[in-house]
Amino acid sequence: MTTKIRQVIRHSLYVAVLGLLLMPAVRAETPGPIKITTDSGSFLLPREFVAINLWETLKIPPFQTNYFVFRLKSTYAEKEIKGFTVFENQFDQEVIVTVEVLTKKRLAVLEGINSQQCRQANHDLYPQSVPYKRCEYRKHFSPEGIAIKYQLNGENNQYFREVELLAREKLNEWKMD
Amino acid sequence: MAACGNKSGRSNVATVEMSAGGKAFAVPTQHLTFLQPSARVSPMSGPTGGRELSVHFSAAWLSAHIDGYQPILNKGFEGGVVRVAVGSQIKKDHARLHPPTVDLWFKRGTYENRIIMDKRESNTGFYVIQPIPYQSRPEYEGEQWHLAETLPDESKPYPENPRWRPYLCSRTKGLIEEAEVFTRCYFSAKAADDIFFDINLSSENLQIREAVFSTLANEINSWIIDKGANHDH
Repeated sequence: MTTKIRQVIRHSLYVAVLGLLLMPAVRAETPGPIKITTDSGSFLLPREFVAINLWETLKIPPFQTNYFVFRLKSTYAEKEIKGFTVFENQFDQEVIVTVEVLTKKRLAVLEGINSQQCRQANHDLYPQSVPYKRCEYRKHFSPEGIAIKYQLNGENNQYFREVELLAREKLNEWKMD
Repeated sequence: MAACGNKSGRSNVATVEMSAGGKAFAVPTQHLTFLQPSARVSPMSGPTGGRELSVHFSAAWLSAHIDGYQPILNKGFEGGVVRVAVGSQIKKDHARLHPPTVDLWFKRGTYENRIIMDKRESNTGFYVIQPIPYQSRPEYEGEQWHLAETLPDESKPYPENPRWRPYLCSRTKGLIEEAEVFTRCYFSAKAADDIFFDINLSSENLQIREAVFSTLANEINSWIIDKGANHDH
C-alpha cells in the first residue's frame, strides 16, 4: 500500500515537473502566421494582423472556414492612412475587419453590396457613457468573391475608403495561390 | 444529442447529421463545437438527455450576418456555443412561470430589497434591476443583476401576455483601457414552436439582440431535415 502511494506521489511530481518545464517552452514558441483555408483558397495572416493578442487564440490549428476577422492596428492604420486618428474618446481606434468568402447562397445576399450605416453609439463605460458616431461599412470585392465589413468611429469615418483599400490590399497580399 | 457523422449535401456546404428532441438537423461542420479551437481549451461536457445539441457560432460568422454586430468586444471574441433545446418537454418548460422572475416583479423573497434604476442605460438600452444584497459567485468578482426592457411594478399583475422577461447579466471589470465594467447577459430565445436556444451577448451587442435572435432562428431552422418526425424522448 505504502509503495503504491509512493508511486502515485512520484508520478504526480514527475507530471508537475514536466509541465513546469514545458510551459515556458510552449509560451516562448515563435509566433508565425496563421493559415486560413476557405472555399476559394488559403490566406496566410501575419501574426500582427491576427484579431486578438491572447495566447490561446494564437495556438489555434489551421482554420477551415469562410469567415474570419483580422485587425488593422491603429498605429499601422495611422502609418498607412494620412490623418487616421490612433486614440479617440478614450479608446484605441484599431479596425476590426470581418471577411466572408461568399458561397453561392451568400453571394445572392451580398452581391454588389457597398453600404454605410451610421448611428450614435455609446461606449460601455458605466456609470459614464461616451457618445460617438459609429459607422459600419460593407463592401463586395467582386473578382475576389469576398465581402468585408468594418466599423469606424468618430473622426476616422472620413477615411473609410482608404481603410477599404487597405483591407483589400492586405487580403490580396495574404492570398496563397 | 446524437451525431450520425455522415455528410449530406446542402447548398454545397459540408454538414453532419445530428438529432435532438426527435428532430434531425444537418449542421454545417463550421458550427460543430468539437471542431472549434475553443473546445481544446475548455471542452464542453454534460448530459444532454437527447433533447439538446450544442453548436458554435463564430464571432466572424455572426458579424458577417448581422448588421451592427461587433465581433470583438473587451479584447475578446464574441460568439461561442449556442445550446439548442428541442421537443415538447422543452416547450412545456419554457411555458412555465419562473418563480424567481415573479418574485423580482413583486419585490418579494430574495428580491424584497431590489432597486430599480429608472433610466435606460445608454450603452445597453435596458433598465437595470439590482438585487440587494448583491448577487455574486465565490469565484467571480463581478456582480450579477437583471436588465429588462420594461420596469417591474409590484402594484400591478405580473404581465403574462407578452410575458415580462428580465435577463440575467453580469458585470465585470473591463480589459479595454479606461473601461470600468463589461456587461454580459444570458438570453433564451425561440427558433420554432418547440425549438429554443440560449446565447450570451455582451455590451454593445445587446442593442441588436433581436437581429441576433432572428438570424440564429433562421439558421437553426434551415438545418431541419426531418420536420415530420415528432417522437420526443
